[in-house]
Amino acid sequence: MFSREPKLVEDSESARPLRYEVLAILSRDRIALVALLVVIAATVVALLAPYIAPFDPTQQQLAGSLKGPSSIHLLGQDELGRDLLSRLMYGARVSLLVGASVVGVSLLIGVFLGALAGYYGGKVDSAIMRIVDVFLSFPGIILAVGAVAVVGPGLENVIIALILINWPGYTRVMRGETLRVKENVYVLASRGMGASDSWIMRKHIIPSAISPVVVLATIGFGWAVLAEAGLSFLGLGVQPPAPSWGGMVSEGLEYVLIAPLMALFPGLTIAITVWAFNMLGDGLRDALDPSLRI
Amino acid sequence: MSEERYSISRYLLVRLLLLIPTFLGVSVIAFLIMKLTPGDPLISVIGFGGSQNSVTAAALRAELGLGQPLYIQYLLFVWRILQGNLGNSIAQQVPVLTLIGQALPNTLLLISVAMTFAVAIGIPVGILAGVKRNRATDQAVRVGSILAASLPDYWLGMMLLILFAFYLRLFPVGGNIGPTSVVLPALTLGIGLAGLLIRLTRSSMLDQIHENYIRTARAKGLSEWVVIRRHALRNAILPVITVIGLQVGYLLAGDFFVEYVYAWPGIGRLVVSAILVKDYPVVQGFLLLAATAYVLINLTVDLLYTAIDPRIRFQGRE
Amino acid sequence: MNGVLKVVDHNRPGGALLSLENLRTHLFTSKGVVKAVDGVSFEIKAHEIMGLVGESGSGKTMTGLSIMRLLPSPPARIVDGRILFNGEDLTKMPDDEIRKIRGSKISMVFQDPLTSLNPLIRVGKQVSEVIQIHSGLPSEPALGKAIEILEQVGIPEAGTVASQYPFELSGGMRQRVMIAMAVASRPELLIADEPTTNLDTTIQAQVLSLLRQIRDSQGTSILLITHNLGIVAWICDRVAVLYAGRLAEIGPTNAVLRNPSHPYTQALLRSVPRTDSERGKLETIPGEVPRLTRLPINDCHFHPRCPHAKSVCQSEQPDLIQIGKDHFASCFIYSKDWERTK
Repeated sequence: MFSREPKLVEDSESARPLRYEVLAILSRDRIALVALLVVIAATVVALLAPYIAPFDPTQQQLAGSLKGPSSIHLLGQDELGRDLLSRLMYGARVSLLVGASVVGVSLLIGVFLGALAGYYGGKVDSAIMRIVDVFLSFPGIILAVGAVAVVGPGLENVIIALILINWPGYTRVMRGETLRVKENVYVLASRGMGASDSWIMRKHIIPSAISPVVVLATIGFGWAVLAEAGLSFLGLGVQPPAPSWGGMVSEGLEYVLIAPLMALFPGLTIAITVWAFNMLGDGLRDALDPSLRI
Repeated sequence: MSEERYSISRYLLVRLLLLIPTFLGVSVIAFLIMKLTPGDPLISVIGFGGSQNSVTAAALRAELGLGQPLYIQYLLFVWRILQGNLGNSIAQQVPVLTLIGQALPNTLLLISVAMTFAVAIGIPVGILAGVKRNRATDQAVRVGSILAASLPDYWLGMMLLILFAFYLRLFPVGGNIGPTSVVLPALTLGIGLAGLLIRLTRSSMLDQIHENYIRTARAKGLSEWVVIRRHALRNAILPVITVIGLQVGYLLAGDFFVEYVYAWPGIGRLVVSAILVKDYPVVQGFLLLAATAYVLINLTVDLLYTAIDPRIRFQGRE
Repeated sequence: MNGVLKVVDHNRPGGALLSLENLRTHLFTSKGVVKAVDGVSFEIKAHEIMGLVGESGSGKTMTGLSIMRLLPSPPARIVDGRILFNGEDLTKMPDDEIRKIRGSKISMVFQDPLTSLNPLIRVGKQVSEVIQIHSGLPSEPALGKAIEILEQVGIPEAGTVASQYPFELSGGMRQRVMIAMAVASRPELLIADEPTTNLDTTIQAQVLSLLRQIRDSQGTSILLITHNLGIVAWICDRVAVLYAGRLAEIGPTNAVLRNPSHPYTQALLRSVPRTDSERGKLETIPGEVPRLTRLPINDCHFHPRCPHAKSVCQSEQPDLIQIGKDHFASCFIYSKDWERTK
């Protein structure tokens, strides 16, 4: 007997491109939109800091040491009289730079190696995944601290260390997705048409497999910011007097009894920024996998 | 039944064998760290004074294999480790192993309390939230748990310290001086994990509630409460257990910020202090131990999962 | 199953065990209201095997779930109608009373036995659970009874099987386990939703025979939900045909299959591939199943695909008209003035 599956609730007329579908769902998620706004705000602040910061972040004004918020210094001053608000703004540059470069490079490496491993399988796969497994068996933060402790502090070292820790995660996810997508009909069709491997990978595999990796990237951004802050807190990141959020928390620790706001603001900033990235990643994941919605 | 035991032990064997390359990797990295750190390696073992003494220095040089090819040094290094010799702390001239041994119980205590707190709050709230399927709960759980995971723990620790220890004077300010000392640090450590557990338990429960076997259980005439407790929970708890296990390893390795802020005398604080004064042998010893513990804990978690989920045991056979 | 046909005297009016009266079950989704069951009425008699036939989306599963009150309740709800069982209306029953009926007086077997069984609990325990709830037996004797029932449904070495997990069993065995769970408390009605769809054909035959045996020896009525007319022909006494949530035709199996009266039933039968046919092409029913969110209220839902449709079919809903003894179809063709209607 001929039995067709009726489309109960879906609109089968147009197969809209995935991007629009995702954006549509995302735009209905109010909290994710708030998160997106925060991310955009942070990026804008970071990019325009030299132009919009009220003061030079390293300029000391010892007379105003540890003063609280005032009309000139909106968030108060630290022990050397430097303006907290300006330092926070410049700190955003560090945090976002670290996040972007760590995630960006890890993503490139991870997607490339993951697609290779998944697509070709066999020895290539084993070799890559062995290395990935070894890396993944370490807790990330420890490795970060250890690595930087050894090679020395500084922004570049932090970024390199975090990249080294981050890329295996993307590789593994990308490989899994590649394996799943590889057997799709249109891939086989392309191969039947004689398309080259790299063409198939670029045009079919990577676009289809990329979604979970993108989610991972947004969350990874948050993690990178948190990690950089932690390292700076320990003095292993950006060196003073250059401002960084983690470093500001550490400075605030010394004076926390007299001027608690000095530590409160940078920590809050870190929390909100990281939250925004994580929330965005979460919203993206929900948008890409709507089967979770009930 | 004996077939079951056979496949479990085979599974165990395979996993143990897989540990070897990991340990190799860990030891290589630790070794490289040792070789790459600046400064005279002798100092860390026999101190500045000892290194000036040419006799002891020469003897030590021979023992450490300096001057020999790298791989020989590596093998000697591994041999020393297997004997329990992790070098001496530069700052304190005491074997690293001793320092770690003194500090470890404190860390274990802290972690146990933190995990107990997180599990006791996280799982029941997660189950309740999973049973209530409404929008408000949904949003609250999402935002709350992500926020809890986004807070820098050292900062949270500081804020809690100010509030509870100074202004309210409810808890001691730091160190491990009494039974109440552990509360604030455990709270700080546990909040992030609690948030994660609430989220995970809830979504796991939600996943299970829509499964077909739950419908069958209801069709049998079971009350909703029994359906949740006897059927859904058992299946829902599996991924949660895995995460808890992984988090134990992560906490063990990553609690140093909290220990530092609260001056809690555990291995975390030990390592942070060591980093700040560039006491590399301690750092290296810690890395080795932490990585090893992390790997072993993950293995234990996997085995636990196998014991609970009968389907996994049989996969090895195919 | 060995046993003598038990004569169960129910003293029901007209021998009806379960009676659906104008049942309406709707799904309230974000894309609109789906009228899954849209005014369905029929009876299931005692000791009979009744077939409920339709394509996917015809509402047959929803009907079965409605009877058990097992609807997925954020989207689905019974909005109208009555379901009479033993003189009581199941749609109005409070939860605790429905629970006493579920699994003991009315039980259900589902389509996919692998996902319908708890993967982490041994099979014997899952069967004994039903026994424990409804008979109050403690766990040991309940397990013993469970093993007996597993034997009765044709599972060899029931004692060993009882201690196994669902994934260790074959598809046919799992389905037998589900049936064991369903008949453990000797229900009066067993609803079987596509019980053989995922099974191999030889196993299908065995499971169907088992169902028939259960009716013969325990007197259980069976509502067999399926899309497969072959199954209906084989073991059903009566059959109801659903289309787009409404009843198209109902009657004794012989009558409906030999004399299909509703154009939809006729089309269904024509489209069954036959090896004795000379026609080369496979017959299909032109058109598509309608979107259930956009159904007009007053029409015959089948009219867009019906070769005999007239304008009245677009503007009014046909009632069930009697074709023969106990045989009804809802189609204007059989109304008195069909010839003269536009």
